[in-house]
Amino acid sequence: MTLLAAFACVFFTALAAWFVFAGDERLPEDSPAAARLRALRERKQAIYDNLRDLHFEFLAGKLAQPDYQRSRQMLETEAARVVREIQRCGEAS
Amino acid sequence: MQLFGAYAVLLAFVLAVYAFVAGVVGHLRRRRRLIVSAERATLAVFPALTVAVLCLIGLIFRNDFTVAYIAEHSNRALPFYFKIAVLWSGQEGSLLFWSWLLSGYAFVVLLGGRLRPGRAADELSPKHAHRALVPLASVILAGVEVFFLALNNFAASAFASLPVGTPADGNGLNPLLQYSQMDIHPPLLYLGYVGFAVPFAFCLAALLKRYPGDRWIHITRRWTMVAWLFLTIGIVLGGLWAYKVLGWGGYWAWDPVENAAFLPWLTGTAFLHSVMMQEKRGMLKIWNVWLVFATFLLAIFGDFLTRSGLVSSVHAFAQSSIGGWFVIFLAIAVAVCLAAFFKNKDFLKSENPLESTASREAGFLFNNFVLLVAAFAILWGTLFPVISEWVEGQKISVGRVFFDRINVPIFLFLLFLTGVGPLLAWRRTSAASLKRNFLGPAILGAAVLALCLAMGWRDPYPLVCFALAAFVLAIVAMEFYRGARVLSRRSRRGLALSAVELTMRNTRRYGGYIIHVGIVLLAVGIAGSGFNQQTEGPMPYRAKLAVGPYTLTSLAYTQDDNANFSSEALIVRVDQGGREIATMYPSRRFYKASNQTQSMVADRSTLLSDLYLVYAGDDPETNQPILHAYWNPLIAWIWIGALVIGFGTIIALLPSRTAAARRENPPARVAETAEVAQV
Amino acid sequence: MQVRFASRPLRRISLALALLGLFTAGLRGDPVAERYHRLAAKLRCVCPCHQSMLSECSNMQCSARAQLDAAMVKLSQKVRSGDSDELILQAFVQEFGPEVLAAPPTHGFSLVVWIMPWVAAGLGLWALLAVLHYWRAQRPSAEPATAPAAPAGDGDPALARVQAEIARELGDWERRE
Ligand code: HEM
Repeated sequence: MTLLAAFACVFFTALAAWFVFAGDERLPEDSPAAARLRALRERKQAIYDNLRDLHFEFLAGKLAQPDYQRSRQMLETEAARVVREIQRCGEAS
Repeated sequence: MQLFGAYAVLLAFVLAVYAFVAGVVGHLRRRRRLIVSAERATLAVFPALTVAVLCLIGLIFRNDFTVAYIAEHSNRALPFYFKIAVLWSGQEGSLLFWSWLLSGYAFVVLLGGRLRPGRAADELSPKHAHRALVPLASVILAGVEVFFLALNNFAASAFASLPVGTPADGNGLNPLLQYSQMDIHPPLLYLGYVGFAVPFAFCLAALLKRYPGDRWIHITRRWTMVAWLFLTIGIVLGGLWAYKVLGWGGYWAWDPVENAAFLPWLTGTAFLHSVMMQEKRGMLKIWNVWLVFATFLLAIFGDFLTRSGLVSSVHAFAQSSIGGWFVIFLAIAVAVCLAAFFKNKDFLKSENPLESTASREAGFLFNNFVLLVAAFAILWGTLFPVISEWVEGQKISVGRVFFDRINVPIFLFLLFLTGVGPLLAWRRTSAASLKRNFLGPAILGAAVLALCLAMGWRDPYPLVCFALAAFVLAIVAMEFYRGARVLSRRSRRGLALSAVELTMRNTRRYGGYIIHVGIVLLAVGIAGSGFNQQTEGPMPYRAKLAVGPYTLTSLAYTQDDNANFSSEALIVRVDQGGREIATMYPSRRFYKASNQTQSMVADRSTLLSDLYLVYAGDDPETNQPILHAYWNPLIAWIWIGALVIGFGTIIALLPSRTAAARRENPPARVAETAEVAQV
Repeated sequence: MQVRFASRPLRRISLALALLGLFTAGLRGDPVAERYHRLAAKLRCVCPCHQSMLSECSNMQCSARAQLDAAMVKLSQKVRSGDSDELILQAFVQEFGPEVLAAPPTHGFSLVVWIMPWVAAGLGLWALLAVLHYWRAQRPSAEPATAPAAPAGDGDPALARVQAEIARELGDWERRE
């Protein structure tokens, strides 16, 4: 019984060691430039989502017209800023 | 099996230590092989601990009382479905269980986040961007795991033998734990507590790596929701257990251990809201990071409270010396958080200023403020006995009276905000929009208030609570209605179908609203306690007792006996308005193995009220049975509310239909590529 | 089998005498019984579990029934002897320590426990308002369309593109369904 347990212990230790050291996967990583570009695109996407959302709330009747106009304008300006930034990054890379 | 189990725990410890050390070195030196092996070691901890847990369960089922833990917490006659609960009903076992859950979370995170061999590295699509954080997050999880496995191995081993001999039978499971709720309440609660380690790991990893973009906050939010869901259900099940088992007629006693679970829940809830500010507007990043840190630290702190015997509680484990380990771990964790924060503070700059105090942003700020004040008050009250002992040398008890008095107004204000928040638009809301949104619900709330007053109710808190409940429900209903109307106009489908589609289009928002409905129902259930009635009296044959609208009549008395316990029950007839409506059997059990007596509550629950009977024992003089009777209005809504919250959370965790569609075919990206090409 | 419940004759008899008096007096309307319950709600159960009020912890869960029963007897005796509420509570504090009070007293050091949450709330509110104020001060003062970061729509190709894209998408959205 003890012998069996000892065997099992040795076996599992070896198995674990093999598993830990046998791997050779690549790491999921991207270059800083790619990451930055992606982050900007996410930002743009988020702003577009906000715009869709805003539009929907307006259609649902939650917002008065001036509120809607103003917010939409601000979001568009914000999106334009991000788009310019994306263009700059695209040039650089 | 005992030796082998102990070995598996040790192996897990070695793996975790390797994962942590190799991971730290690998990340500092940028050695890919080291990082990969660290990740694999983290993965391997889970199978190793699974073996250990299976060994312990096997030993429990084999009634192997050489193992001290089993001799102390189990016995032969214990039914098999409670034998599982032995795993987590004592200090050592529950610590092992905790480590196992943590390794399970790490396992799931890693399986979902590793790249197959050979995939190109910069192929990370937006959807998978968070994966770049997984290697570092897994090191952090391994670090947390090292601590718990150190406890499992060196401070509280579940596989230790009794110092001398083997008893014929064990001491048995605490009778308070022999209830079906206890088979699921602790695991869910632990899943919640432990789960906060995952968002913590991602958040810390993003901060350390200065990872650009908001992906990390999405993944952090997702895992927080998962842990939050488990914690919510776990807490409510704990309340249900206390209610059905402890027999004092209530469900929440503001006991230190209950508070310990409530604290991370509050900060977690705060985070789930403030995170939206970051996702939508790039604001509050520093605050969010600290909320995630605080939630994790409070979860560990709660575990510490439960296990160290620092404060006394029914739910706590026996006093033990492992408190010191926790203090050291907490100190290290706080130090790491502070260091990571100050080193990378500039990474967390806000992108947008706030535009108006009447905006959703401001609403979230108030939401966070209220939740944190509540958390502080509860933490403060829980720790005050210890503080007063230091300062004055005598322990002052801070109980239900204190917590109720402080928290009821705070939570009523929170309920009010729950209504107001969703109606404020992002950025700013003009008076015209405000009026358009609030007039109806406010009138409804006022009407309910007037109705309650007309009913002759005067207790202010329940009144305000009912009025606010109507207010919030009206707002949520209006949100669903208005959204569904827009869709149904387009699709010409019915409103109900459109409401479902609406929910699936933006699961997050409408799931959130469903959760708010659950909160309202829960609040209504709690407010019902303002109308509770309670009485007690001797119940010899034919005796009567009146409580609420009911008359209770004692009919007979029965006894029963089995291997685990013997019991005696009263048979009580319940009449309402002269008509018999039920027969109830409040009883008492004597558990043989643990030598303990336990009252078994009889509870007749309807949507309007519960009739709750406790057979408190026999009058020593007259030998007459004594019955405690409670009439608890609206309690069922607490459990219903919790179900609604669970349902809403699951909805909010589903991917939105539109978002999913967009991800498959992102139009914006196509446009951008064109843009970049043009320039 | 007759169920065994731990029993110590002396204590049980005295408890019985005390409680029986209260029960048989009829609970409703009896000023003595009412006072008993009111006071019991201000006292905690004195057993080590410390989990509930004296009035609630009466169902044999406690490991220290003896102490608890004695406390209940004592309370009922004191109520009968007509001492003032203050005096009775004081006697309990003297015997069991301040832990026996259900709520911390509102004087002396334990006043701190009552005050701190509101102090924290005040500080938090102050911080919140300060943050709001700071943010509003930072806000670009001009209307966004004319803000320096974003020159007027037609002059800026990025903005024009965004506006076109948005208009198309929102228009699409309206037509699609
Ligand atoms: C105890 C009280 C509350 C609980 C448990 C709670 C819980 C939640 C949860 C879990 C979500 C879903 C979040 C997500 O999917 O990421 C949510 C959404 C939301 N909560 Fe709360 N909440 C509470 C109070 C409040 C308060 C006081 C406000 C007021 C500011 C508020 C405003 C919102 C809003 C606006 C959403 C929808 C967000 C969206 O548009 O997607 N909640 N709530």
